[in-house]
Amino acid sequence: MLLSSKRIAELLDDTTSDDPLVITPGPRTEDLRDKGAASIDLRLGSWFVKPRPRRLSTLDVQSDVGQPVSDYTQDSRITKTYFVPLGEYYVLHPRSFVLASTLEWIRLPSGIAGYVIGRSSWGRRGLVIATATGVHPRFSGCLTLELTNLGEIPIQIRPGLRICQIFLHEVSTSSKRPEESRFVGYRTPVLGRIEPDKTARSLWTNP
Amino acid sequence: MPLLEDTQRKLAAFQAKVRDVASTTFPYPEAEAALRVIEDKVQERLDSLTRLSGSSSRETVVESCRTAVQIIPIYLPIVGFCLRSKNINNPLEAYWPLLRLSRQLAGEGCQLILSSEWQFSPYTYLQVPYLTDYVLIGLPASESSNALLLPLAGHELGHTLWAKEKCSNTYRPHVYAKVIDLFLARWDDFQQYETSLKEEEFEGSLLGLKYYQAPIDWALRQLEEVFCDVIGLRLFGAAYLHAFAYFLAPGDPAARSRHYPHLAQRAQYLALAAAKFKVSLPTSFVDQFEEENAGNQGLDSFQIAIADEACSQLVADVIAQVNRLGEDRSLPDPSGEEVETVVENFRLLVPARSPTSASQVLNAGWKAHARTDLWSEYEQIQDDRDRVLNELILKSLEALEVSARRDG
Repeated sequence: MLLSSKRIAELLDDTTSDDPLVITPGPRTEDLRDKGAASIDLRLGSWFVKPRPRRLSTLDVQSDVGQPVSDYTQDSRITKTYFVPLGEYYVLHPRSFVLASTLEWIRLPSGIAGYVIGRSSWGRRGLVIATATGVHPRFSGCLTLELTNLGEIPIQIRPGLRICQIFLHEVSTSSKRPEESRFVGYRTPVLGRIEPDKTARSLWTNP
Repeated sequence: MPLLEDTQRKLAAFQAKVRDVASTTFPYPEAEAALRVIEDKVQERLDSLTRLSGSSSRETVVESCRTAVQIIPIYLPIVGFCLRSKNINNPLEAYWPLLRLSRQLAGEGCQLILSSEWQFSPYTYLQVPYLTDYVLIGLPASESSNALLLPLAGHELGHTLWAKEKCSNTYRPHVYAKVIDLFLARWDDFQQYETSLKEEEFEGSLLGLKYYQAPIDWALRQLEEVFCDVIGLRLFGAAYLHAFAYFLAPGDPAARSRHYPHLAQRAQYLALAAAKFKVSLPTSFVDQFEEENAGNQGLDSFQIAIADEACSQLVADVIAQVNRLGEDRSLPDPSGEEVETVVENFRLLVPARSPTSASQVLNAGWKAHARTDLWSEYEQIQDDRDRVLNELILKSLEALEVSARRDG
């Protein structure tokens, strides 16, 4: 069931829970109660990660195997990380792609999952936000956003801007120990790794 | 004359390097502003050389070149420091909280450049000409991303405050009196090194000055370091003590600097100040440090002992002064009663939800660091605890700034 902003406000105000919903820096819950919508706006953070095309001939996911998530993201041979402080801006040029993070650190309790989508006002200006947007229960960290400028005009994006929104859903068969997210505890964008699973490997093995 | 042309070339090359660095993108504007000041000062030197006429004497040209080129060794390290301030491994979210703290301590005109150093010592550049409003704080490059060490910046801020408050002028007469008294009290020992002086002539004589000037300078430098330690403690409480121990313990007994009290003694002074500020001393804090010696014998050792004792006799005054400064500037309480709230946030794997000060966040960081069972239910971060804690601390410091801006 999709949570209303009123219900979200109630969960955010519950500071006694041992498995709380947390969004920090948090929205004002009194505003959320008044809003009457079913999502929470999230703001752009200060960190950006851009692939270095000059260093990459192809993206070979096989090379991700066995690498820790953090090492892979911070590998300066394949990505360049930028910090844009509050008050400054990042220019996203047409047809360019960058990973960004939300300003908010989000912690979802065991019984709640989320979906992140862009805001239509940005979409109409060519800015597409996030294509892989499911957030699992017990995720905790800043969300990584994939930003692409599909328009023809460079776009200035500033940390602190409302950039996307998250819809929160109750998970019908709530488990105390759902599958753990690999991306727990990051304040910067995480590239992650695409490790071929057992089935994929078996398909690649010739008899 | 090649000397003049070579000097102009050296200055021009230096200016080009300054421009080159200044033209890049910095996370915060102060580094670029500082570089522009340096660039202008180099231009002034170049202009002064251009004004030398062909009829200037060789002595004039030599002296002008010598003076002009002195700017390079003074500012080249600063240019490198500014360049390193761009490094994304620096604790960039700590910038605003540290700037606010710097301004609370040293005045609203204070500017901050947060960078890193390629030497294993927290470092500050003291009273750089034309950049006197700048506080330059650099943690060692290998530790510059370690947010738990941010309390050491308190020590570096202390140097700025020491200069701003003209503490050398305040303490020099007291140090002078203590050193003279100590020489006279140990006159029999002193006579092993100098027999031609009489006690009653010691203070006013040039020969006496030769013996007591160095201990006065050393004791004053030591007192400055004690002041900076106590400032770090007053700002960050127990977190400063943890960072201090992490960074300096056990110390090298053979590497005593006469400009610092020996390390075990510094720890003792911090313990005294901690009692005054009602800061809980970490377990076995003082015992972690080895006694150091200067590796010197004879007169040198005698003079160092006098400097140590003179400094020791003024430590209580320094602690009282820092206490007054803290009250005058309304610094947050370093005892950290609200720290547990933030530790509880960290236990739930979230940054501080309503942080009130950088000190609160950093103390919570050290408390969480000590709790090995903190995240036992999060299997996926068991091998990654230090990184996650670092992320939580830096995000909490950013949240502190966001709250300050949003709530006015």
